[in-house]
Amino acid sequence: MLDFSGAARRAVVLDHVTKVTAESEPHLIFGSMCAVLPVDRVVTVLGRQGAGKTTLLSILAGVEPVDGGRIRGRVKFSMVLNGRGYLYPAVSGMENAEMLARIFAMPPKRLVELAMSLPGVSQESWLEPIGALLPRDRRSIEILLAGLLPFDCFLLDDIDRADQNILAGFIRLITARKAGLICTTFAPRMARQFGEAGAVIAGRGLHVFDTVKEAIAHYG
Amino acid sequence: MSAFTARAVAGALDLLRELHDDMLIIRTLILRSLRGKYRNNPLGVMLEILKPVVLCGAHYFYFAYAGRDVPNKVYLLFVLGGFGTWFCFIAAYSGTIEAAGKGGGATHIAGVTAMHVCLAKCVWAFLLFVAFTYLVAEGGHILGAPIDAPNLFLVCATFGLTAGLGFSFGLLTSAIGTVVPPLWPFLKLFRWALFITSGIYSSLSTVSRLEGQFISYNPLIHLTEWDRHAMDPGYPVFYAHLSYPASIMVVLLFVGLAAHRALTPRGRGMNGYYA
Repeated sequence: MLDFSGAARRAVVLDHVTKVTAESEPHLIFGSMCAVLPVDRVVTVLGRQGAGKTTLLSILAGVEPVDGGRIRGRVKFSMVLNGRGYLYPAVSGMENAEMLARIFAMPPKRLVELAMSLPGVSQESWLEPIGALLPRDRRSIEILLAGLLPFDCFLLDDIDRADQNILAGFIRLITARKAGLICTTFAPRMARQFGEAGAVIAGRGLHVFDTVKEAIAHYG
Repeated sequence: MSAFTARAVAGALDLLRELHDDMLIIRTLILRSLRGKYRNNPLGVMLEILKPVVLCGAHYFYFAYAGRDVPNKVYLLFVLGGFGTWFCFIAAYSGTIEAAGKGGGATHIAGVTAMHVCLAKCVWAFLLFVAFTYLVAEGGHILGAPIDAPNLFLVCATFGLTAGLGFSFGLLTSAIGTVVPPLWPFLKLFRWALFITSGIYSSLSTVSRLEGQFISYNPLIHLTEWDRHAMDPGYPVFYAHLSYPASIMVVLLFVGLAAHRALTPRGRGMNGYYA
């Protein structure tokens, strides 16, 4: 029997979660997966291409449903930050910040000021429509803006494709508020640089480890 | 206070808080959509009003100078009632189909669902065409047309029902199109049938009995007639009843919401938490 009384102060429980891809040739990604995933620290999830890293984040974000089992935990997850997402491309980063502030009942001017004061993105980039920015700048704004929103745990996909300085700043921002981060990568180097705990997706399951070192050893 | 009462009060407060949050989200989605659409346009949001005004103007001249049979011969109100109702319906209907189907990028934001996007489209359709009605009626009054201020309650009731009808039709159409995709072309034809019999070009008071029996099945023509009556208390509404479109709306809403719920993948709850 699975023991869910783990050492994590806050965690989300994946209870016999099954997920099948919704593609032309469906295949099983997770088969009755059981895991306790901590959400109060930086957890790097390692996995090969196609292992299900993005699917795991989509499941946690609530964007994709599970095909079996359930997820348990009173955790407010962010949207998946993957550069493809939540910012409205027709308006600028500043205008997106105002709208997000209204959606999350925060003072709009304060959020805009905070966002534009964060290092890593130029003032001009904040004023250009998101759709007109380079993918790198778009991703940076997406990450920085999300870091100011009131979530318990953030979901960041493919940290290899994010600017390292932006990522470091983002992690400082969220850990100061005691929020967690679950990020995915296929590169052990990135996991070692940013992670506090590790997890590996392998064999249609998720294996969680207390340290990144153990996760990398398992990942091979 | 007993524990039961305390729980009931806490539950009611939670519900009010959620409703308040939902209203904030809907309002923000409306502003987001308008800002994105008209960001680089000097006319801005006024274009939303100008487009139907131009179409109404063209049809006004057609009705007035072609001598079409219109009750009370107030062509401006006839055209305004017909097009206002139709544009409101189609804005809510098309917006709901688009949002219920894909949701749009806004649903990537945690806490924003496709239903929020649908309702934002419908609320905007309602507000826009109530404003449109008053602006055009006032404009006509200034230009000397025999128009008084529209009846606010009736205008809001008819446009509320119209937007609601568009929403419920849209949900049901989206569900049917998702389950049976080959039906989409027929659903588009059905939309044309609704347009032709919506009362834009005819009135229940002046058509033949046979035609009237046929077109009165369309709930939109009842709303169109009552919208005209809201602007002109002398406009005859003997054959139009608001209870009919209201009943259709309630039934379709029930069926449409059930279909949408069955077809929408469910992840976390509305408050962002898992159970």
